[in-house]
Amino acid sequence: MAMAGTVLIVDDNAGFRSFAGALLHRQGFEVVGEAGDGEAGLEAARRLRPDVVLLDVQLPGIDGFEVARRLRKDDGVTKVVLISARDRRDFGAAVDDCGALAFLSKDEVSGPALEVALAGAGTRA
Amino acid sequence: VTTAREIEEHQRQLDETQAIAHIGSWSWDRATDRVTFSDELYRIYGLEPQSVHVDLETYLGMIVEEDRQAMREAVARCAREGEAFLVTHRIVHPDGTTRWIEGRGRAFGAGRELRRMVGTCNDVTERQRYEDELRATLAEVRASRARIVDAADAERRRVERDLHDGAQQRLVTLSMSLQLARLSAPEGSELGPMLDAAAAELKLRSRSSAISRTGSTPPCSATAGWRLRSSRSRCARRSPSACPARAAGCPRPSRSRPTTSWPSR
Repeated sequence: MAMAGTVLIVDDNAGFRSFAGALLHRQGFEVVGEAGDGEAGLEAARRLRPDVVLLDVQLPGIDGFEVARRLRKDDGVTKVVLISARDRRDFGAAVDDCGALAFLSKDEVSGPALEVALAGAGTRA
Repeated sequence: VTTAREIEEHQRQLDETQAIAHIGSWSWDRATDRVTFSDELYRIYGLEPQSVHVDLETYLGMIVEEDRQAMREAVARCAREGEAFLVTHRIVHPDGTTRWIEGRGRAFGAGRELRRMVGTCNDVTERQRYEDELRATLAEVRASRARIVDAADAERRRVERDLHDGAQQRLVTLSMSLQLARLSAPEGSELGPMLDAAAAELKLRSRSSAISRTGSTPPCSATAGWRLRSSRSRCARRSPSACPARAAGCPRPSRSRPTTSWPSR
């Protein structure tokens, strides 16, 4: 299977990072790194330059929205897909305001879902 | 014609009435510039009846310093403008104990026409003490109510965190491991449809446990900057009865405030 792109997973739950990494790998993505909090996520994104950052909203330290804003300020190129176990509506306009490409519920995270999101036809409403 | 005996009888009745009611009286006559205290007023001030001579300055001197100026001004205004007064003030007895006194006064005539001033004093120390106790109790009740609300709030946040970090994360990783297993299932085996069914069932369960997806408090109110408007309208949508939600330009509410807008499930 052709590689669909490189992914950085930023989530404070190690179990989620591990399963999501394995699943995305099986579905054609190359997982280039993982981070457990916002600061480490920013650092890894700047260093690894992944095609997409799979970014949890609620993180220790700076939250996902702030990480997305800073990444957009950096170069405006890195694609961010926000993920959360919460409902998207709980976050109101913050999802759009931070410049993320899409929002995925954590239980919807999969290779195909990520590809749809990256194609711009994701759950962005 | 009132006889001396009748006057004496009236005076006796007045003294007894004052003693029973614990109200003392004073009067000042401009023509003679004389101040008189009733027996009960001496007792209220902790003195033997008619034991010392009193005038305005000795009267003011018995009042504690912090309250003296208010009484001085009230008496002056009463004399100047004929305005009756009520000043609650503290006095110190010769034995050093402090008492709360309610002092009332009024004038006959005013300014140049002033002829007499009269007044009463009654000891309200007990009432003051009850009021202080009541205020302290009320403050304690308010603080305790706030503590209860905070404790319930903290408990709800703890349950939410447990659900979010525990149950919900496990459901998510379980869903992913099912997807991984599905990818590993041999093409055409009956394992594939079984894993699909399990994944679908899990999705259903996950969605029905809405509380673990959304948390038991709306995140909008838990984090500064996220809109209260969103929180309120979500509450309204979840409410079983019709519930219009309006919030315009609200600042971030206190931690205990969002509780009041949370609909019962």
